[in-house]
Amino acid sequence: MTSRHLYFKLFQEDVKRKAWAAALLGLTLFFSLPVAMAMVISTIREEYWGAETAAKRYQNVMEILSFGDSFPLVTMVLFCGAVVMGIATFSYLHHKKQVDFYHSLPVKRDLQFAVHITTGILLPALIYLIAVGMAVAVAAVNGICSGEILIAAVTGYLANLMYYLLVYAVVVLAVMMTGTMIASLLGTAVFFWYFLGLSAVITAFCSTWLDAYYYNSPSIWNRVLYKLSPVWAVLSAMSDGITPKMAVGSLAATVLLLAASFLLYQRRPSEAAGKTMAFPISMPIIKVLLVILFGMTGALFFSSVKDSLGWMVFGAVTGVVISHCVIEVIYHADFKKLFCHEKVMALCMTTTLLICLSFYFDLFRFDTYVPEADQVKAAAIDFDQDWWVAYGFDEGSGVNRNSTEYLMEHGTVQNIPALLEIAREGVRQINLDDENRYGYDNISSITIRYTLKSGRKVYRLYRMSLEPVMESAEILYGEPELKKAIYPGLAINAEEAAEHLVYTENGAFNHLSNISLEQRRQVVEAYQEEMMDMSFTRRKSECPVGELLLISNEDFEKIQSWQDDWTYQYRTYASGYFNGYYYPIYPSFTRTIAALKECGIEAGSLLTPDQISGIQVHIYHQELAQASGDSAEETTAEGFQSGKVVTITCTEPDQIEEILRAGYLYHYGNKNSLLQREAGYEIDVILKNETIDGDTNLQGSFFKGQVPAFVLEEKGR
Amino acid sequence: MIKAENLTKRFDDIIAVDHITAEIKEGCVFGLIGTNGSGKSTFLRMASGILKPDEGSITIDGEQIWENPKIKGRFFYISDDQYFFSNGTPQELMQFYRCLYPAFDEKRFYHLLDSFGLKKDRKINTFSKGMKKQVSVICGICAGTDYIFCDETFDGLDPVMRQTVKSLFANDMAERNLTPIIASHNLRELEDICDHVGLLHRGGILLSKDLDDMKLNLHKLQCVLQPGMTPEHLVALDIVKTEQTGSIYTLTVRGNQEDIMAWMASYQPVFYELIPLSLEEIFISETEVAGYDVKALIL
Repeated sequence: MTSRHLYFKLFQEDVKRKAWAAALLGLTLFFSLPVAMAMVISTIREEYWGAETAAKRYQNVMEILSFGDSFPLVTMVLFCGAVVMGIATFSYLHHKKQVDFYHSLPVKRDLQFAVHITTGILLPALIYLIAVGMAVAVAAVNGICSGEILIAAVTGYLANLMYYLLVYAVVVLAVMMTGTMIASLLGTAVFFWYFLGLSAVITAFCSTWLDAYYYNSPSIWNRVLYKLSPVWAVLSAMSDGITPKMAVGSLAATVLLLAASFLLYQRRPSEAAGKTMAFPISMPIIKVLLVILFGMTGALFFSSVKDSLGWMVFGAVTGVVISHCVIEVIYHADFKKLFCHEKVMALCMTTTLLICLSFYFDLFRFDTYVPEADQVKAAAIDFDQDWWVAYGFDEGSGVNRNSTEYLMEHGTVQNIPALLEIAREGVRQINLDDENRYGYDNISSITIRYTLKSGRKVYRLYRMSLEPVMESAEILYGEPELKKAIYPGLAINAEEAAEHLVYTENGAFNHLSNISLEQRRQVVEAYQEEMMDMSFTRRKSECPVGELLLISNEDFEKIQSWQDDWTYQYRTYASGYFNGYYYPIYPSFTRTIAALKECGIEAGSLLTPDQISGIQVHIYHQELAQASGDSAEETTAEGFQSGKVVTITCTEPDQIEEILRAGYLYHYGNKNSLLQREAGYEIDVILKNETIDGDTNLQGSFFKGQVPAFVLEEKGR
Repeated sequence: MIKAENLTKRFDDIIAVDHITAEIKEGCVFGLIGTNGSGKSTFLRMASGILKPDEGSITIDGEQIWENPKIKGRFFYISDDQYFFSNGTPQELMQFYRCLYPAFDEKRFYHLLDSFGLKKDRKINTFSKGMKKQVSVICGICAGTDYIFCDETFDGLDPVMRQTVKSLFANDMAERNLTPIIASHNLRELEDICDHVGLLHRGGILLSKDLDDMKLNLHKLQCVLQPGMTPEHLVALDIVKTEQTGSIYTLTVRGNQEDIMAWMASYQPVFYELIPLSLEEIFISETEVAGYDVKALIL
């Protein structure tokens, strides 16, 4: 008999053996696809009217047939189906009787593997195809059918099948390595979650014990490890869609896993049936890897409950001991083997403690590392002083690009010594106790990326104040390339930006539609030049008076295309999607303000004293607070709540004018995080009429050292 | 011919089969005898290509059995606890085996099922232990293979069925030179069927001989000697074992029957006669010679 003929004969026989699993999957898919389709269509018919019904039904049909998180039921069913089918396909390997039966037959193991593996793939693929066909038929009967729906059905089918194969291959590998069903399920769980867990624990270790760790720095644990988890692969594909790279990766992983399973099947001893692990050589390796992870998790857990070295060590030791004992009991299926292989346990404990202590005491001097200038080929910095800036959209997911990620790629600096001085100050501030560190104003997260001459990229994040190194910071902030990276609006061609130029102030938008493109271009150019010359020191005392929309055609079109998908109310320049493209105009930007004036816009004039009925100044009395036992660090807000606040109301025009000169409104100030305010004061501007946003009063504060004399007098009383 | 050379199999730190060297010739019934844990099943599982030997080799006509479908198609293995598909019927089982054994005799299968009173469409898991063994034996015989490996197959069969199976084997041996290899812990079960026996103990083979050779070469002699004479005086006889009840001696003597009788006659005993040896007695004698207490091993 030819092997092909024999293959089909054996395949037929194997299908009979898997009939129960096929029936189970078929039944679940029947309810998840055609029945769900019929129910959704019927529900929409009852709840919607007119044209909305057709649109909603079409949308829901597409969602049910497509792959994604809008209708995750089918993917979840196939995920569970892959686990059941994977275990069922090779479950005979768990039973001596069945192993003896199958392995005594005159069939090569290669052929047996091929028969079993393909049954577990083709049978569900056929059942799922029938279910999809039925679902499409249900939709068609209800008058919902188009080429787009058929394409969605086909692509959804292929995507779900691809991830079914991936999960199935993982489960088969787990079965190959184990000898009992329980061990196979546990092995599957390990393959599903181990790399996700390891990645999370290492990241948590770094975040917890390394002060200068930048959470998003590329490393094997936050770039590669978690991607080895099939659970992550399925969930990320569902939420973010499948890119060609993901599809190729998934298929390659499936092929590799199946190849590994095939090799293991050939080498798997028949006597492994009934034992926990089929290959004794894998036992210590898997145990050590698991025990160290559990030890680290224990250290992390107890440290999060009580942050001390003692509790960390306690967590690590208990994690190692408990996990080692449990694994030994599982391996030997014998509770009396609880403490066997004590040398391996000691090795695991030593390794775990070494890892924990090296993080706790920073034995590798991660936090204090600053390279020598001659080691650095290039460097980038994110000052974290402009949280509001938008940096375009991520190509894959379509969401806003992470600002730090963008600046690490584009925020290259020229003056390396100045950057290293900031880094050294960051290291110095790590070692300051909290009282000294928070004695500075404006603590921010400064992220630095060094590209060393060796090609290695090193990331550090310092929670620090720039005050002691303001000179170096100013040098870097003054570098044109870095400035353009921090503010992409400054790098846009002035004509391109002028096309979309909008001026906004206090909630009012001026589209400058009657203004010539040339005039708008002049506004943009003036702004770009003045912003290029802006310094941190000037920003400390200047509050923006208005904002200009500076956006590239590409980003503008992207936002417009999204807005077209949504309801009309969001289709405006006021949409939150444009927020990161509105750049602040500072009072010292005289050329910009003059150019705007040429266009008929008086920047900073929207809120005038005649629009204000009065201003309330809330004065926090620190002395009163201290007298009642509160600490000096407590904020004014705390003071307000506990009634240690004196409020004065100013209605005289000259007082209102004086307060407006000495103070600023948070609405304008929120795009300048360096703005220095006078602590202990808040102002409430009460308007005669509502603003465009419907506000009747606006909050603000005084610039540092500019509290009007009459307010100080009032405080002194 | 099945040939095991230096065959060894270990399970963790247990040596299940310890450097066994043996030959099983075609056309004879080979009995593999030993206590529980002596390595019979492990030997058969290696012979069936289920287990891979750790050392040594096992071949059929010079070809390795492991992962060799051509050779594996020449035997049918019946384990001590045979697996049947859940909810499978004898007919379905036959259809499965028919795919794998080209010489499977379907007509004979149905005929034998009828003869044994087994229904072809009844679920096998509703059968008794003995009936399941009958199904396995029928499948094995109808598979048309050169060898049939039976691991404790006769255990669970009633005496009538045991005789029937034995006669089926005898028939196939005569008709198509079938070679049954039967592993059992029960000597009496194999006595009237085996041509050749191998005795396994603690993974090793104690002896492997033709039963006829053993029977022809070993005799039990009951005698009453002349007053003053003891078996030590019978120097011409190769006495393996001596037992005495009053004045009657029961001697196990090695050698040719005619020679023994001639020598006995020359000693002029009061009475002497040769009585037949059971397989059990042959083994007791042979293994005691080898220094083992076979009663402790087998009985």
